[in-house]
Amino acid sequence: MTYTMPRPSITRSSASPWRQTKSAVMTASLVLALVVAVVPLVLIILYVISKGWASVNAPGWFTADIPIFSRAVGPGMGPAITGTLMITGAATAMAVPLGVLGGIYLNEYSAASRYGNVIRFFADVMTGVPSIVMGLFVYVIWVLSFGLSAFAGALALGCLMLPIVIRTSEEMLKLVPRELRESAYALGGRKAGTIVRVVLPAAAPGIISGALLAVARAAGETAPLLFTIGFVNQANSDLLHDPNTALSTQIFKNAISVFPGQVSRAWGAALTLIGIVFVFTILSRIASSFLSRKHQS
Amino acid sequence: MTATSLNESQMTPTNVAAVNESNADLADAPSEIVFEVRDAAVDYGSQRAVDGVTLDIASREITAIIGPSGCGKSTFLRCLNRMNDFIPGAKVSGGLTYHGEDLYGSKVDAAEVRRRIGMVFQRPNPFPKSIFDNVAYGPRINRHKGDLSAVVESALTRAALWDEVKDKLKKSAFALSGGQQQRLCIARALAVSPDVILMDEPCSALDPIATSRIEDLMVGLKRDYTIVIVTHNMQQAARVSDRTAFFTTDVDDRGARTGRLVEFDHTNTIFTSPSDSRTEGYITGRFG
Amino acid sequence: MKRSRARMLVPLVLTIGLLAAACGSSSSSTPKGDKGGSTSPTTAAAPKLAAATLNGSGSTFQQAFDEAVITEFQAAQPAVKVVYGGGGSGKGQTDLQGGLVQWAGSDSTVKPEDVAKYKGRFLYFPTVAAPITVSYNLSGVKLKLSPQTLAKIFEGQITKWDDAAVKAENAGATLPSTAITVAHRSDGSGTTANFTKYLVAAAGPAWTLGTDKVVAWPSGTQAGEGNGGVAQIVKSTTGSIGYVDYSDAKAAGLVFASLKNASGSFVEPSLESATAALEAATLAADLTYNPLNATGAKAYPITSPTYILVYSTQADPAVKAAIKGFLEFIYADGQKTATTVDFAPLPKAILTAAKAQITKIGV
Repeated sequence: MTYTMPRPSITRSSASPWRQTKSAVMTASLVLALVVAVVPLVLIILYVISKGWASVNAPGWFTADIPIFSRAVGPGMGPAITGTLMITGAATAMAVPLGVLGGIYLNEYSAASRYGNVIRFFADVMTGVPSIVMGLFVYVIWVLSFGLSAFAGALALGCLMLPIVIRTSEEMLKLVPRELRESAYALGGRKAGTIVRVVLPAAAPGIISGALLAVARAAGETAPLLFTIGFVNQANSDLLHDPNTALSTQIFKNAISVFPGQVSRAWGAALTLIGIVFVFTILSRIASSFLSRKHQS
Repeated sequence: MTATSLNESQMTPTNVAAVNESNADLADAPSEIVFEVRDAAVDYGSQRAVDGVTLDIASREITAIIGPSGCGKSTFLRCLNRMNDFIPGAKVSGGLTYHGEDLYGSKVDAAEVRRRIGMVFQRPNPFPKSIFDNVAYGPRINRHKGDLSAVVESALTRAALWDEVKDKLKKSAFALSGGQQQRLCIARALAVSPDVILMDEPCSALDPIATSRIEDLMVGLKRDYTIVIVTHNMQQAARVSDRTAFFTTDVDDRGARTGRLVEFDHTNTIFTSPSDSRTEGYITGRFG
Repeated sequence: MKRSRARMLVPLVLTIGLLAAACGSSSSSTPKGDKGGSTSPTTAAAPKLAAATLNGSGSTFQQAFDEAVITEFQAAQPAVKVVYGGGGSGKGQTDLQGGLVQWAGSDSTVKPEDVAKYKGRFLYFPTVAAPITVSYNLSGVKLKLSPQTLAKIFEGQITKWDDAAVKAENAGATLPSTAITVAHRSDGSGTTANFTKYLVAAAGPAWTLGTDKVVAWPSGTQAGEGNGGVAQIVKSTTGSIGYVDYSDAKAAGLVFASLKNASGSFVEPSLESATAALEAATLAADLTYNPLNATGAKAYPITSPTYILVYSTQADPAVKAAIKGFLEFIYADGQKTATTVDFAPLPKAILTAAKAQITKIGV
């Protein structure tokens, strides 16, 4: 006995309108969810621009000293901008090379070893440590002995960045096909040379964008800096000694002030910080797309 | 002794012509043994992946390894240039010699082994570098002294790619088509003057035209190189190889799969009058 | 490919454009710093001091004055960097004990039991004085308060603005039934110490919380950091009341109460009423003085002194010279600056004694 499949017509059945409605409702709710997610972001940016634009637009905002007389109205934010760049730069200089080396170690030298797993576990735990706790840690191990300084802030931010850089580097290295390494080995290549000359270049776009996102995140941190760089208004170009200032701490101190001059400087600093983070983000995109395009066009 | 000098001293032009005329004719001609494999086995941890492989691979021949999926053909191939060293838990046992030297001897430099025994992989995998730098990579890491561009040109010519890429050597290797990329990978392997080229299903990701170009290339390369190719394509094995090894899979009562060599002979013999019924079954399409 | 690269660059170009626009526009005029920054030095140019950093912290009561005077001092002595971090008198004293700062600002004197914690002998330099205002947030009401009523409000005994005691002192005012929110300092504060010291002296048994840099405020009160923090609470909370230094309260646009002084008259905080209170005060040998609860028809009762504390021994000659230079500046140009930022300059007698004390540094 043979069974023939019923062959339904390809015209829409009566169930179709319901299916279409369902589809329309689902699509609409997805769009709605997107709007709900994006609207606050856009509002934040627009609000900060509307509040901060006048400050940022005043001549000398980016270069002039912060008024020592804090009630004064007007620019600038120069010391905080250089402070933020200096602290974030020092943190990057410490965390990125170390983090990439850590990622290389985890992925290339200890993939399945117990030691590697322990490191990976702690890196994951470190990623979840609240930034204020990191600040407290640096306060105890560094500030209590050596005093407040930009370097102490950089240590705290570096500790925050390190696990992110380690884990993104590891993930990016993991994405490099095994065959690529094996091809290099098949040419008589040795492990270290292969990692440096083949694996890292192949993973570079991802590692760079991961590192720059970590930088962007660190640049906006406030809590760990309060413990570590202190709070001053004057510029301090000495990385290792004396309290310093940063955009985020300026926002923190000025935004709660009762004086309008300070509040508008806080908005200006907020806009500047968003701008800096934005530039970092764009740079990371450009860098990684440039690197990956270099070999794929 | 370099692989190149070995190649040059071993074979006369007459022989080469004969090789190209017919696979079967030359099969019995005296030929140097490159690999002597005696009861070799590969374990991954406690799992035996390949067991009891005994065969000789002759110089300047194409040896094909065929068999159903999971029969350990690639695993065995990777034993021949110690590529399994990089797989955690992999362990090779039994006798494996290369030109009479124990391939797994304690004093063997595995990197040097892999320079002499090149490998081409299933998917084309050029480095994220320019075409030139891809080919020049091997000579560079092996501290090649002399004219690098001559080496690159010669390797690309041997891989039948020179004419297509000579004007865009600085371009990214990813700009090439899949078939061109695979020939680039062959050129890359040739640039370090290997003695043997192992090919792990080199055409499985390519279309028929690109496949046929690679096959032509293999036959041409046989003049100077010993080639071992793993393929799941029986026609390919029949078309290009001189000898064929047929592997199959044993499943034990716990469900563990172990690859075994069933039969190793001239390709003609394997495809026309196999001595083992499992070979015959596979060849005629009854399983696998 | 080209197109996606172009798309990639758009945000960057925009950003650079924005930044360029931000840097480039020069049309808007620089807003002048509030009164502080604009007074030009009147004395003959002092000799230039060697490079040194003077870190300071402490009283937020005197912070506005310090910032104004530092702004001018830095213009006159660019090599000397003077930093003032605020944080409250308590922090200033602890920082000086720990040697974290070269100078501390404090409105209260060091307790006898704390003297031993310092790394050596320290000197009080009275700089300026000012009223501590009782600022509140009630629209259209001009409050008058007696010390007893003030004490009961801050103790939490009086909880509504239309309480009988408040009404009695403010006949004719329309007092709402709003609950009173008391704002006080969260940090160790000389302002708190002087405010409570005044209540101890003036309110008698009505005030039970004692006096210190921190006291046990009743629950339900709000705490702010620094005088600015309390000013912020008062500014933003209807029905609130707090004690804030005159300069900050005025700059924040707060309304403040007239207080009944020891002579029985209601006096509003002002520089004149503070000066009137200072004149009655007597200077101790260590240059501390107590102008609180002063008598005199025009004397504002919560007039607070404020001091800079420095060690008399200074190891670093550059720092020693800078400290002396800074203090000399305060007693010269700084006294003129004081009124521009709503602090009362020192009366002549105190000023002379304080100037003379500078020579004791580093001896």
